[in-house]
Parts: sequence; structure tokens; C-alpha cells
Amino acid sequence: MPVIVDNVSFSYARNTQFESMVLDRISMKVEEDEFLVIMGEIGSGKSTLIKHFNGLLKPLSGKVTVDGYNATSLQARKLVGMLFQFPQQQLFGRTVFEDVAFAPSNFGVSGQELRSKVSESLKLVGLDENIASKPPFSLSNGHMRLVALAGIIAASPKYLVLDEPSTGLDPKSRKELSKALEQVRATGITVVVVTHNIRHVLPLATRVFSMKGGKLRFTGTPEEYFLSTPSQIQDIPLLMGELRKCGIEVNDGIFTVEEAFQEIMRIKRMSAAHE
Amino acid sequence: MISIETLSYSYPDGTNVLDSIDLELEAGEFVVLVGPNGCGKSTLSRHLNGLLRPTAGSVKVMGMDTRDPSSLWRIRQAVGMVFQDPNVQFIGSTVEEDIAFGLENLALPTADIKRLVSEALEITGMDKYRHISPSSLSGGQKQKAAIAGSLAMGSKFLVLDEVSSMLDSRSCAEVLNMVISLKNKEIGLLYITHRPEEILIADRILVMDQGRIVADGTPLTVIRELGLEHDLFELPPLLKLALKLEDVGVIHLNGHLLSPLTLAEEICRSL
Amino acid sequence: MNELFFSYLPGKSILHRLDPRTKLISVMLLSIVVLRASTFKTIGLLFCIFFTLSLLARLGIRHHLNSLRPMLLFFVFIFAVQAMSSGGEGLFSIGPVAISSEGIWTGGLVASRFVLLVLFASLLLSTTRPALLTLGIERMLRPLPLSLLGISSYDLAIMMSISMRFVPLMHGNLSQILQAQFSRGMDLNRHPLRGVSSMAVPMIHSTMRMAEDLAMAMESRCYQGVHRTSMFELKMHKADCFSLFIVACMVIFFFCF
Repeated sequence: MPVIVDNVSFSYARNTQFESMVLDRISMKVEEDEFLVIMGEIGSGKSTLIKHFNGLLKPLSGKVTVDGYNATSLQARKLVGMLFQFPQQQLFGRTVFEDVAFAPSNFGVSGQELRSKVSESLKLVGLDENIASKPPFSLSNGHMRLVALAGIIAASPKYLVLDEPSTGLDPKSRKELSKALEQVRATGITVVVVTHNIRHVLPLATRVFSMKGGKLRFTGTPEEYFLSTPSQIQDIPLLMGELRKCGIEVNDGIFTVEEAFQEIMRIKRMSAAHE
Repeated sequence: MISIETLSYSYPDGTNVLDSIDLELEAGEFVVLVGPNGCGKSTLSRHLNGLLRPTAGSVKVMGMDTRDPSSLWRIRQAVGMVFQDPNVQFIGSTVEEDIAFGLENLALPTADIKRLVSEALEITGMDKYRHISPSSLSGGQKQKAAIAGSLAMGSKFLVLDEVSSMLDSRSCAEVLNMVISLKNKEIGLLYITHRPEEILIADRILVMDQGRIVADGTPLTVIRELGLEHDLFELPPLLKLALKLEDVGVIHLNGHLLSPLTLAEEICRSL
Repeated sequence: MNELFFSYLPGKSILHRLDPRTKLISVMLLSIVVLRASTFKTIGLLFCIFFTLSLLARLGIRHHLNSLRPMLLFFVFIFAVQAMSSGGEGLFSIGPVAISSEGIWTGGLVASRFVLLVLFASLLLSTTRPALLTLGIERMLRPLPLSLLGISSYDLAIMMSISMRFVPLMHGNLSQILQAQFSRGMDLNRHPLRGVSSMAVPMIHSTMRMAEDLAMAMESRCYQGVHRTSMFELKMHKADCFSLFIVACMVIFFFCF
């Protein structure tokens, strides 16, 4: 059973000068075993939406269920792991080990089982095991984020939700993070990523859900998303669209530089063979 | 404008962060500084207004040495700084009060402060937010207000340290457009970023790695020099593809900025 | 969030236009009277003064009453402690604790003193721009020999305005940390101690980072804690002298009768 958001509305306390962003009767599903990307600009309601997945926020109206459980229940919270934008707000252990062990021990795992759980999780996100004895705040930004991720994986969630995971990371750390997410996916965990830059998760994404002003703007495959969105960002899918307009028959599903390069070389070879 | 000679910096514990850097930054120049996390970008930028002072070598702003305490305040007036997190650099409880903060520190008379604040608000287009609390502005507007605070003090040079990294693309564009407009006012800019799209706008890019400047020049020459396979910074995908195609002789790039349309036309021509 | 209580509400009333120093001195004087009030007659009179002033401020009583809400528990606590510990003849008893009529009387008196203090503070804060308030404080502190302590009146004033800015920011930060830890299965009921440390460590870390960033931003903008000017000018007008005179008269009246 999936995560079902049914006709949910939400607003932050209205009569303050602070935020007043709203979810406006949103209905959606997170299917099992998909990699869902939730897009939208700051203030579109995407972060508010995901906080409903594990009951951090309660809908004003409507209902959120996780595998049939109410999202605010303990069972649901156990199923949904959530990584926030700033790992500094999540980490607190004296050592990486202590930190990663926090969630599973909260859920009653202990002893040898806990130890193997921790080292398994560290390995999964691509961190070296001897990092476990270091204090988490001594690590680089990118590694702190991976430790926070390992801490969530260690609780064996069925769904993993990440809020803007690549903020402030350099290309190298971003690659490490993508790799970790790929590994996480391979274990069968459903992944939901909230971002305003789809490029960072593109090769993994299976579906895009895009929001604007608290409403659904678009949902579909990444490819359909690019076709529906005129973007100022110089992107490969846009180029592919332009090439099609020029009458060149390029294949579907081309997102990365490498794919595009191979495709253009293939067409080039074909047209050369024709002549 | 700013000249840096054999600048080295190490933390008190002996870790070397900057390693013998030589650099000249001109007035009215738009310089983008890129490099992996921890390569020393922020450390370098904090030398430009004397927040940090060199362990060896020197930094001179308009001829004034940052190690000379008597010129420190004039240096900080000339070189403004805007930081990554838009939330923690405000002191005033309204935009106007915040912009006035620097001027109050310079002990200017009230009438002058009022005039300079109004001017800065106008230049940055923040006039209508004058009496609003900075915390209720959007991320882009917050950064613009922070920039206004520097401009009011008469900054000749602005250091923008990953100002766009916590913003969404629309706010980014908003800030970037404003930054570009400053170039016409002969204000020098050092713009630190991880965003690939922002690299190409610069007159000049500096690439740092492990405390050294490893490349310096116009964006295209630097990118060609370093090649495509490195982890120093990320290239806009379209440019990367174009360079790859150029390498195998499919197309020829002639230096101007790329859009999907122009690249598609270029490819069509060759096929 | 926090902005609802004790926040500045712009307006053009006579109270808004008074010099911040006038308001500060008046509130201080009135507070002395409040703390010395020993009969309900005095308390009643002081409430009348408060209502008159809040009518002059034209902000509506509700705003000031809102300021009391976060302190409600505190008032009840103060009342209860006084009521239980004042001795005297037992009126009735809850378990082993005897409540006397004297207890209720003192409890009521002490609690209403605190209520009055909060109300006057709310009046001051809602009619005075924070910048002017700190400027007023700075001016009043200036003659003091603070340099002996190694700080300046400017430092103190800036500290005040920063804390006003940072309370909501830290509040937001704390709620994010709470959410992050809840998501990791933190259960405050089962492991209260562990829960506290799992919140405190990131809170300290992020607060230190904020403080560091802010210090750097301030230094970049030439803050040096020595002489600075202000965008606002402070000037005592006739209205200020008149108000101070009235307040002084009131204080003398209360002291004599």
C-alpha cells in the first residue's frame, strides 16, 4: 500500500507576519518502489507537503495515510524516514556511531544487531567504516549529510523522504550523494526527493510531481515534465526538443550529457552511412 | 583595486588553508570564484576586507594594507560582504534600519544616513520594503537588502559568498540580475558559487583547489584549459555537450553563450 | 509566532510620539509603584491608569491581554505558592496544604503586581519602535562608567536589538530541530533525558554558527562598539516634559497616601 494524500489543505497560523503558505486541496500518491521528485520553488508548498508524510504537520482538512496507517501514528512514522536540509540540525551524537544508532535504538534495536545495522547503513551510503568513531561535526558538509542519511536508513524505513538534499554541496559531494541514493533505491526503499533543481536527481527519477502556490501543477514522467515546462535553464531535454523541431529523429529518454553525446554521434554515423 | 601578493593563511593549529596566492582584482570586474568545498574560497574572500589577515604575504585594498589597523575601517567601507545565509546577517528590525546600521557605525550625521539609505533602497529596487521586517522578505529580497546595506556605505567592491546557494531559481535570477546591474556602476564583484549557470556570466573566473588558484581567465578559456573531466566545479550541461562535440569535430564553438536553440542549429548544420 | 506578543504596532497616538526615554522612565517609575502596592485599592488605581494609557495608545486592550497569555502559568504558580505558604487561619485545605484567606489575599496581590508589570511593559513595547527603544536605552546608559566593565553603551544597545531579532529565529530553528528528531523516532515521554540532549547539541551548534556569522556580518559593516550615530533623532518635546511631570506627580501621590 502506498502513501496516500487525500484532499489535504494546510496553512500556517494565519495572523502572523511570517509564512502563510498553504496546501490547497492536494491529492497525490507515493507508489511503492518509485523514485518521486517533488519540484517547486520556495513557497510552493513542497516542504509543507512532505512534512505531512510522517505526521510532523497535521492537515487542516483531508487525510494522509501511510500503508493504511494514519500518518501521525507511530507505525507510520517508523515507515517514513525523513532527511532535512541541514544535517547540522539532525546530528548530535559524540560519534558518528552514536548518531547513526539513535533512530534504530529508539525503535528498540540493540546489541550486536544495532552494531551491524550501523555498519551496514554506513556502507550503504558509501562511507568508510572507520568514520564511525569520529565526531560528526568534524566531517565535511557532504559527509555530514551522508551520516544523517545513514542514520535514517538504519531505522529501516520503507519510504525515504529528502528535503533539498543537495543544497550547498559541491559537484563531488553531490555525486557521492547520488550514488548513495542509487544504493538506497537498490535495496527497494521508495525515495521521495524535494528539490528545486531536478538536474541533480534526474537519472534516478521515475516520476515528477510539481507544485505551484500550494497546488499540483504537473505530474508525469521526467520527460513529460521537460516537455511541459519551458525552462530558462540550458538543459539537455530542451536541446533534444529543438533537434526534433529541426527534423532530426532523436530517441526518447535522453537526459544526461553522455546520453545526448552518444545519441548525436549515433545519428551522425547513421547519416554518414546513408551518404 | 585589490592586490594580493603571496598570500598564505593557516589556522592557529597549523592547517594550511591558503597557499601563496597572487591575485589582482580590478574595479568594475565581475569575477566568479569556484572550487570544491573546503578549497579555501571563503577563507580567501574573508581576506579581502580584513576579516582574516594573512599569515604571510599581503592584501592591499586601494593601496591600504589589511594588516594596518588604522585603515581597517576604510577597507571595510570599500569592500562589502554578503554571506550565504540570508537570515543571520540582519541587525535592524526593518529593512531601512538594517541598511542604516553600517552608516551609523561610520558615525555619520542623521540627515546623511537618511539620504544614503534612501539612495541605496532606490538603486536596489527595495524601496517598497523599506518599513518591512527583513524576516518577512523572500530569500532573494533578503540578499538584495544585504547588498543595499553595503552599497549605502559606498562599497567599491562586493564579495558575495555563495549568496544564491540557499535560494530557488527565481530568487537567484532576481539577485543575479541586480548584481549584473552593479557592474555598470563600476563596482567590482567577487561572486562565489556552485551553480553551473552562473559561471558563464562572469568576465573572468578563478578556480581554486586545495588553497591555490589553479586556473584564471575568461570562462571559456578556463573551461577549455581544465578539460571536461574534473571535480573542481560543475559545467552547465549544454556547454559540456557542446565542448564534447567540438572535441570530436562535430561542431565549432565561437565563444558566445549557448541556448538550446543555437546549439540545435549548430548540430543540425553538421548532420 | 512570537511576533504576536510584545511586538511593536505602528501608530500615531500620543504614546507613539513620545520620546522613548520618557516612556522608559515612566515605566520604571510606575514599576516601583507597582512593586510597592500593598492594597487592592492601589492595584485598582494602577489598573485604571493602565486602561487610560492603553486608550491613549489606541491599540485595543486585546493586544495587551495577549501579552499576558504566555505568562499565564507563571501567574498561577506565583498565586499558588503565595496562597499555600502565607500561614494564617486555614480557610480550607487541599490534602496536607492549608489555604488561608490571608494566603489568597497575598497571592492575589503578588500575582496582580506581576500582571501589571507585564501590561506596562507591553504598552511600552507596542508603542515604541525597537530601534528607538534601544537608542533611548543607549542614551540613558551613556553617562554610566560602563567602560570600566569593558563594554560600551553601544554594545549594550546592540545586544538588546540583536536578542529581539534572534528570539524568533532561534524559535524557528528549535522547531526544525524538533521535527528532525521526531522523524528519527525521538520519544520525549520514553527517553526525556536523551531527547533533551538530542535537541540541545544541534541547537548549540546552530546557534554558535549563527552567532559567528552575525559577528562577521557586523564586523564587515564596520561595527566597532565605539561612537556611532543613529538614523533617528531623539528630542524631548513639551509633551515629554508634561508627561514626566504627570507621572512624577502620580508617584508622589502613591508614596504619600
